[in-house]
Amino acid sequence: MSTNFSHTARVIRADQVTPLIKHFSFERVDGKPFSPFSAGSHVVIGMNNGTNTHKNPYSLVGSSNNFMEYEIAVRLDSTGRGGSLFMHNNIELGSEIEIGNPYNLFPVYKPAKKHLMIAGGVGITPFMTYIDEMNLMHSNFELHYSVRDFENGAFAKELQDKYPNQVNLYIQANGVMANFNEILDNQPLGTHVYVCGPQQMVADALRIADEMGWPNSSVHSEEFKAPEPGNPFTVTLAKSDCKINVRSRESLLEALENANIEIPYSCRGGACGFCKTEVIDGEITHRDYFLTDAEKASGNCIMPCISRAQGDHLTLNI
Amino acid sequence: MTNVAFKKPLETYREDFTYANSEKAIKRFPFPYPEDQYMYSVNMEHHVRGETGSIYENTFDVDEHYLSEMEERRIVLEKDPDRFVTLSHMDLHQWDVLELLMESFAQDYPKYFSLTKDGDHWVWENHPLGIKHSFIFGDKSTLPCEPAEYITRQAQGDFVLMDQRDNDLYADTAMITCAADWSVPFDLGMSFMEWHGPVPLAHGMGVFERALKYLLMIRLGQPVRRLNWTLTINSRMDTSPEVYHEWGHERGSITPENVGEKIHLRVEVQTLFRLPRSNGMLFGIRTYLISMEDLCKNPLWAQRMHRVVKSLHPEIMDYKGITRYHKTLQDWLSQFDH
Ligand code: FES
Repeated sequence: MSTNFSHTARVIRADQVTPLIKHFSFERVDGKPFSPFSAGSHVVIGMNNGTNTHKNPYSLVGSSNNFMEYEIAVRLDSTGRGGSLFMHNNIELGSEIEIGNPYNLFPVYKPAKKHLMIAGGVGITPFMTYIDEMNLMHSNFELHYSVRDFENGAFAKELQDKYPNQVNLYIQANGVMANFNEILDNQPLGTHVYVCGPQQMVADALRIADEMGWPNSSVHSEEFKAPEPGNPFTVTLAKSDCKINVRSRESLLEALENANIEIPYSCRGGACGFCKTEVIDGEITHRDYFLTDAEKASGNCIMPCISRAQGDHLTLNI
Repeated sequence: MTNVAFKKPLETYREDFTYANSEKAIKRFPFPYPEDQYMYSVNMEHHVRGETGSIYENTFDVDEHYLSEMEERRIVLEKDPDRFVTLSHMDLHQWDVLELLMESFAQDYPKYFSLTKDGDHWVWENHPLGIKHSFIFGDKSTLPCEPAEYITRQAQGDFVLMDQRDNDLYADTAMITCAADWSVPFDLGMSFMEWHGPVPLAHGMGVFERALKYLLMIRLGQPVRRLNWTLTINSRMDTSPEVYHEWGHERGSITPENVGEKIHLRVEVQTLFRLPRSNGMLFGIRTYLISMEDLCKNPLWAQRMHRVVKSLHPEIMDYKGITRYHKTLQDWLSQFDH
């Protein structure tokens, strides 16, 4: 049974909300509603550029109460592997894409007494649905959102207008920086912190929280990354008895998919665990967050969405 | 379309125990043993639709005992309202479950249930129970009780709503009126491990660690199921520890003459659904009871039942509370195994 089921959807709105961020709304081509989803969920968008299919995960940003539409916000990453570039340049009103079922790797900690969100740049996206839910559930929340300049602050104005008392905006161009020490200080017992943004910002916030004695279990960050290019290698598929070349700019998962081999996935960034695949031979460079250290050391499984061969070959038990 | 011949007058699951299965119900009984020897396993499979007439035909099975079981639930709740319990962070989970059950029922049994939605204004009709109610989805004040209590008073089986956090599942809402007599009393807020920990022989095998990892990855729209079983004296649904004084002594009442009529195989069809709005999980425990007499009308089942009972590990026997009448049962079943 295939686990990667998806719907064909059509773009019904596409707005450039900042110079780098484009906001898309989709509806299902069959006219049916999408599934409800939980705050912090992502979906994988599949877009075909004629020669191959890019599949990238994006946080849902729309209201968690309107299921006729799903919304995402895509930041242009010109150094990336082309998915966001394609979304920006080629996906417009009326374009059709594939959209997977939502999955949540960054859920709200429901019993928290207070929710403290720290966002930087496009890291605001998961918090759009957080705030929606917290508003609906009358939860106590606070958002600290850092942006380069006002122009680059996606959703900044609408958030500030809607929640003037809960939203704190830091505009770096004006010399206003978020001070994590101050933000994390003096929070009531039972507060949970959520951090999403550029790697350095997340690392700083987590380090400071740790130094200040916040328990690990009260600090949450969304960890998944994009695959990085690496050396090309070949994979041998033991069960189906064939060989595939993995090029330097594609992930092992993508190479398998291009050869029409379906592997379950959800995050495509080493966090969800779905793509776990057994390795029979070859050294692995692990880059995921899912496998335990013992599993990594054993060398008999790989997360092909993000990890690669260390040498020039791998043999998989598929 | 599924037709159900609801039993009338209502059957009882206590005192005079008038509960009985029709020919049809016997035929569709979920006989749980794939082999002649029982070994504990987590044995999960996708909860996909099965053949017409089978208990897997629909997402939630509504059968001939529906009205009787709902009356039994009402009786238990009247005596002990705490059989439905919930923590305050479970509102979204509760609405998720209400929606899942109402939509599944209306879709699978249009003759008996209907759901009309106009934005958040919903109208729910349950013909067998004579209910018609308009309410606002998301607004508790428009329902007579908590959303999960409301809908599970209209659905067979026990239901536990689990919150997912810290890479674990916590049972933070529960409607439990037909609990099997597991040795752990259910406690609100228990984690998956605490709840399943005491199963003998399972821990060494690491089955729960693996099961939990698997459960955490259950996706929207891809529920799973497994079977669990035990034996119960009389057709008693409520064998929870809270009322042990009412049923505990019945284990001593088994004689060679009454085995067939009194001992019931109790099978739980356990289902797990990812809940969309809350990212939580619904754990459904749907209980089917069949007397040994009825079960043994099927010669293959009778033979296998004998072999399973004969080869039961003593620790499992103890855990399931079978030890006291094991010999009597095994002797009686041997007549079907030549
Ligand atoms: S797809 Fe999520 S870990 Fe690979």
